[in-house]
Amino acid sequence: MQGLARLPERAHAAAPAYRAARLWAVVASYGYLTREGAVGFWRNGLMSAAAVGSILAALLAFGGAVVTLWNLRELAARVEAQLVAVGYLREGLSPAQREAAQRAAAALPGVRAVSLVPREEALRRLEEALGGVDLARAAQDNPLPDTLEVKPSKPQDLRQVAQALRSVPGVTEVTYGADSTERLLSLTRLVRGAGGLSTLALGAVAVVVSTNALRMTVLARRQEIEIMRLVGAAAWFVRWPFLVEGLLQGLVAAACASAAWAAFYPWAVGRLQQAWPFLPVLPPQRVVLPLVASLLAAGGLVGLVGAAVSVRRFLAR
Amino acid sequence: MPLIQLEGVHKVYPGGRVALRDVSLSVEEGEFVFVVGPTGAGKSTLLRLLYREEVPTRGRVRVAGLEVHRLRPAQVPLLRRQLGVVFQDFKLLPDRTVYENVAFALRAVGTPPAWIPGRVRAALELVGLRERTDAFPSQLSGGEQQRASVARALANGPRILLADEPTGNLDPDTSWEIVTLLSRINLRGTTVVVTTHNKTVVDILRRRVVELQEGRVVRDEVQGRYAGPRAAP
Repeated sequence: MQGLARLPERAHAAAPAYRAARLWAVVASYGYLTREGAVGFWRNGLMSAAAVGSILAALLAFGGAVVTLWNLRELAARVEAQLVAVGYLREGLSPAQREAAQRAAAALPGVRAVSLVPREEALRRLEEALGGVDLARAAQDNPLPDTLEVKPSKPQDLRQVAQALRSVPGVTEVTYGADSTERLLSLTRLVRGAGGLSTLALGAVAVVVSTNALRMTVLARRQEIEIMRLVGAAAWFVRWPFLVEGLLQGLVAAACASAAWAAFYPWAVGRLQQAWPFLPVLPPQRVVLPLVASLLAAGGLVGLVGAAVSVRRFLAR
Repeated sequence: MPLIQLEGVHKVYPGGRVALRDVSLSVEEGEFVFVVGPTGAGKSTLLRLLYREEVPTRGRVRVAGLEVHRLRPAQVPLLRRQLGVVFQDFKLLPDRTVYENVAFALRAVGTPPAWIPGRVRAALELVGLRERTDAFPSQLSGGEQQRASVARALANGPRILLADEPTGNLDPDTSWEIVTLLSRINLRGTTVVVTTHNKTVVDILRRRVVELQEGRVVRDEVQGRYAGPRAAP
């Protein structure tokens, strides 16, 4: 029995050289396993294509949700930026008193900026708003007072700012469109919340979809997994190639989704602005790069999570 | 201390089927044990407890110094690396050659790459498959496939070889071939536990025989036969 003499002895396991080699083997294993994962991606071409396809569909929808969310947030922010409290100044204040009132208003808590609008400017704006009527001539005299326009740091603070503004010396009256402001703010909150939730929901859908797609990949190799577990492979050894494969599938899907959105968004914005020039949409240069980054991150994450969940079922036994 | 020890082991599967009842058994290092008994007697469950594919409902299982019934999942690989397991259906990967099948198992336990070719060759030589290293499982006979799976189980130099019905799919001559192979491996010092229905090989080899019936050990003989003295003519 010549073979017996040459069968590796267990004594090897204790030799220092072997231990050092084993340590190196662990490091080398990650390289090997990463290659295995990449090779698996190509070898199971059809399966990978199916997985990439379903992740791609989920990511396209996710990208749509993200783009919509961003635009809604921009819209909400613009609307909110127009919210100001207006303080009417008593007639006959000296320039020094007006400036003092402006400084006092600026010192109020929660105030971002205060601008003094002289009555002449106010009249000019009114004329403009009314479509170029010459009010100065019609009224002989300018009936408008000087005003302070106060912008809050946070739109939600507008009411408190308006109340505080009443106590500023020289201010006679304050308006901030109390009811409509409250309604507008709750609307923008709703828009943000709903947009955020639907983005989250679509993200979750993407995870579920890719988990299902990657489960096929794992299922196709359950025999390999079973044997690896049987001979005593560590959990990470079994998991790693699938994580690499999942990551690759997620990233490839994300790259396709990015390309699609990078082409579609500028086109869509162009069409929209042709149809409704006043519609505030985010310009492509502010959307495309962050969107590509988000899609790649989401794709990679979704692939990793999907793969980890799929393999877990087999490892947990 | 025995290499394998079971104390008062009960195993009840979910659903209530009782597979083992109060089984106590010890196997010393270097022993060769046949586990016999009718289908459903609990032979496979016994082996599955040893390599921790199942955990006992009650009782203790010790293998190679490890308290198997208490192992956390992360520790299971430590146990499995001291065991080689062989199955009736070989469990070879169909898309890999004989060489790759054995190398795959070595790589899975972190064997340094430089050591792999030598170990694979040595294991294949031991089972007599040196000439078939590049064949795929589908190109091998049943006996050759089982020898490849024995080579895979042995490549890592385990202390214990567990074989669950290794001859179940093989004709009598090939079965004999496999059992003598297991016997030679045992002569090297590897402890071997084999479940089997193969009366002929058990009766010829006259090794230790443990008989299970309805989950109980009903016989444990040092140089036993397949059927106990009561049933013998």
